[in-house]
Amino acid sequence: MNSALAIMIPITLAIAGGFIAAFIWSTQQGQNDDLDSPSRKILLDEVETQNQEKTK
Amino acid sequence: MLIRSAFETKDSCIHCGARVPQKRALRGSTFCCNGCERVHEVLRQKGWAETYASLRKQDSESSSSNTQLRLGQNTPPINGQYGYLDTEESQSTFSTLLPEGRRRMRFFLEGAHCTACIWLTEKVGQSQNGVESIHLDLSSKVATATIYPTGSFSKVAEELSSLGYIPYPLRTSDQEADIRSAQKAHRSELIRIAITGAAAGNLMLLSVSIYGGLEGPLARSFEWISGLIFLPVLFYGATPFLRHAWGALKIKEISIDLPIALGTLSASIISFINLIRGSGKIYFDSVAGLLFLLLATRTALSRMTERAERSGVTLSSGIPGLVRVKGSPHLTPIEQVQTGDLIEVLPGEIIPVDGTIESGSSEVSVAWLTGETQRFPQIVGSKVLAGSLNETSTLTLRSLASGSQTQLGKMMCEASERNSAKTEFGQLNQRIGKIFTILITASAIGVTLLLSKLGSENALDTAIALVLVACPCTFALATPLIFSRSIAALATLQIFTKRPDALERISRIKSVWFDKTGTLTQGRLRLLEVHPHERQDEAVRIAASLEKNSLHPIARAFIEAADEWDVGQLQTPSHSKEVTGIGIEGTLNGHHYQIRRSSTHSLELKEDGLIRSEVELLRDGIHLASFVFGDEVRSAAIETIQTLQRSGFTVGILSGDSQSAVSTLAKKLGLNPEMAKGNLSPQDKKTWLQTQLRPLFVGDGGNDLLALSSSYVSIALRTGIEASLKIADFAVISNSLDSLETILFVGQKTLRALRFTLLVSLLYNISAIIAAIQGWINPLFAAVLMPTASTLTLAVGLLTTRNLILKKAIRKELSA
Repeated sequence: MNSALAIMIPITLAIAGGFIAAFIWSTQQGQNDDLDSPSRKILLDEVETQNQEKTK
Repeated sequence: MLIRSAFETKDSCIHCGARVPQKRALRGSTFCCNGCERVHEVLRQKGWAETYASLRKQDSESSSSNTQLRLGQNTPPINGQYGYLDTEESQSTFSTLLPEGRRRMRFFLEGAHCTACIWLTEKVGQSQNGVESIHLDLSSKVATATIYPTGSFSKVAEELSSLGYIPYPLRTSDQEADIRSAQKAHRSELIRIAITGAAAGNLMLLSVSIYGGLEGPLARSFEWISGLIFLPVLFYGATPFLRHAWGALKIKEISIDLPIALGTLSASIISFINLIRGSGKIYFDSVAGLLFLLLATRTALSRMTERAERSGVTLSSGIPGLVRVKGSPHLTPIEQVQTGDLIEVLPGEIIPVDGTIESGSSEVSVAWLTGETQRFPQIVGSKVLAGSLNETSTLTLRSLASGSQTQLGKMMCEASERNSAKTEFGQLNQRIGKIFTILITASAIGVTLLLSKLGSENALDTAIALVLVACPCTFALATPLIFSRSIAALATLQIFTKRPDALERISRIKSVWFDKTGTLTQGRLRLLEVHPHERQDEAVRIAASLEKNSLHPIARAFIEAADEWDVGQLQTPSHSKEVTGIGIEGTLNGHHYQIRRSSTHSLELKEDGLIRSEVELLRDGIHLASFVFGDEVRSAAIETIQTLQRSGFTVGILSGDSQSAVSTLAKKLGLNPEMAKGNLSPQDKKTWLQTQLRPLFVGDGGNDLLALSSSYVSIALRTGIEASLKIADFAVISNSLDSLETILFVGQKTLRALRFTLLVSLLYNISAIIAAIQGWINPLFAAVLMPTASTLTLAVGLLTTRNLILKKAIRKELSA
């Protein structure tokens, strides 16, 4: 079991590190700056196509 | 601004959802005001009305906000007013150059508040040629427009304005730097929380097995890995607390961060020592978990206060950002104005610079600056100040100073400086910090001595662990939560505060001082009486028709009254002529009408201490009607003052207006005449407030800036210069005096919640000390006890702050 753990733990830490790196990258990119508008924007396309159907 | 009439129907404006006044409904109108009607027409023509309506419906169903914003502006936008955005100088002031010749400009959109607004903004971008995109960030209300070389920012601004938003272009110089540094700070906050949280989670994983009984070399290796993972927590996650604690110590203050820093450091050090020793207890997981929770709640609170601040405050400081420079075809941004430039100021406009009059003569009101309501005629050669209101006719000024060099600008700088000296969290933080530091240090020492006397080994170990467990983490977690809830509750009522400790301070006040003009009174000229009564609608209609294109305050009051009383359609007079200082005349329906100062005249002090002026309407030389104008005492004023006096506060008035006017008003409001002080300069107000014990100052306007920043607590009402909203502790956007009671109520509830939480926290601390003496403290104990206690305290915080404003609203209904 020791040898299994000796491999598992470093891999676990590497994966955790990978996720942290990804989070840092996305934050630097600005993806976490505005968390409100994008959620509302999803609805916009839907409503617009709905109305276009109606007026056709 | 329209005032809601008492007779409103159940019909809702089909544009914004507000109630439609009865008179309008009877005419068949389905809008609450001309503004909404106009915007709706624009939407209909573009074919966007349907989608807009469905989005608004969705929004009002999902959100619980009760803001019924009026979306259209009542004054139609002036054509060509954004032309300056296309000029060379403006390009560098307002826009940034992007690759391929594109340009980007940011606008603050006043009036943007919902999903439909996001959609509209984007639609404007899609429908205009030469525009790549327009993106609206709802929380900051900033729209970013990117155009190709063929596009035009002025067209973008005009279209946004026609949809009911007021676009304020943001200057790249200061705004951009501010925005970018705020952005960087936010991002590093998030990253810090992420790293601390990830470390805490993994540390907990590693320690579980050890708590389960794992021993031997495997356990040792887990401990070493824990130590490794803990390093970023200590050097990155803990730094804000260490820095604040050290910063406070340097100025001989103890803040709540000190016990937290002590607990963190001592636990970390002892853990590393024990790790290297190979025996003894380690606390990496508890420290990391504690820091993660603290960071998260603090960040949440600061975002909340930022958002509240942005929702409430518009960017204008009252001084127009654009001026009319003689010789220039379009408006010029105020930064580009130089000393010696000739500037034209129309009647009804605010004077944008300090300057001398080159030509023209007019009555200028300095009410905003000094609080005096008397108007004095200014002639060629006299000096006028930025921020004062040009009332009657056009003036051409030679500019002496602009921006921060003006008198008003200097006042604002001084007030801002005092402002930033007030620290966030100041009072409460320090007191709690002292309590806990003393408590923890004393108990640590005491426990060490006691345990070594009793012969138990590891006395020092236990004592250091006690410092961690007894740290005020529970209180430090619950406090931001309580403050966030109170601030959010106030925000739904359009009351904003940036400083959480203002809520605490407002519960400790002893006296309340009001400014007079604009705070206890409406602050503007309104039509009060019409004689004779029977034909008043018709008289107002004629008068408003004549005054349609005038910018005089009396003209505006006529037009406002005409709209409010809904007297019918205004006509356009033929041959109208305005004679400054005398009045206006014109021809309507074959009759020659004149409006002029009443011969039976004019400026008198009535029983409420407010100045009245009277004008008369003549038809073909014969007196038809007379109108009385004046400022009005707010209806809420008497009630608010009585409630305050009943609650035991000392109440008074501080004003720049004449002593006789202030004393008369004080009598009417039921105040002790000694408490009414007139003829005060801004400096005088500040001096007076400093002699009072814990005063609350309520005011508005430029003359109150100094008072607002130097009073123990201050509230700004939104009638005067917007800058006062940035300086005061509380900003009341709804401009209602009732909000004073609400703020006091919420403040008291918050204080009670904080006190109760403190009690729970202290009880927890005492139990921790007892546990230490019993020898129960070990890593498992800490890992279980601390989160449990934190959750408990958070629950207490939540429970004590429920229904913050609901109860108050219910009380009001019951007593009404």
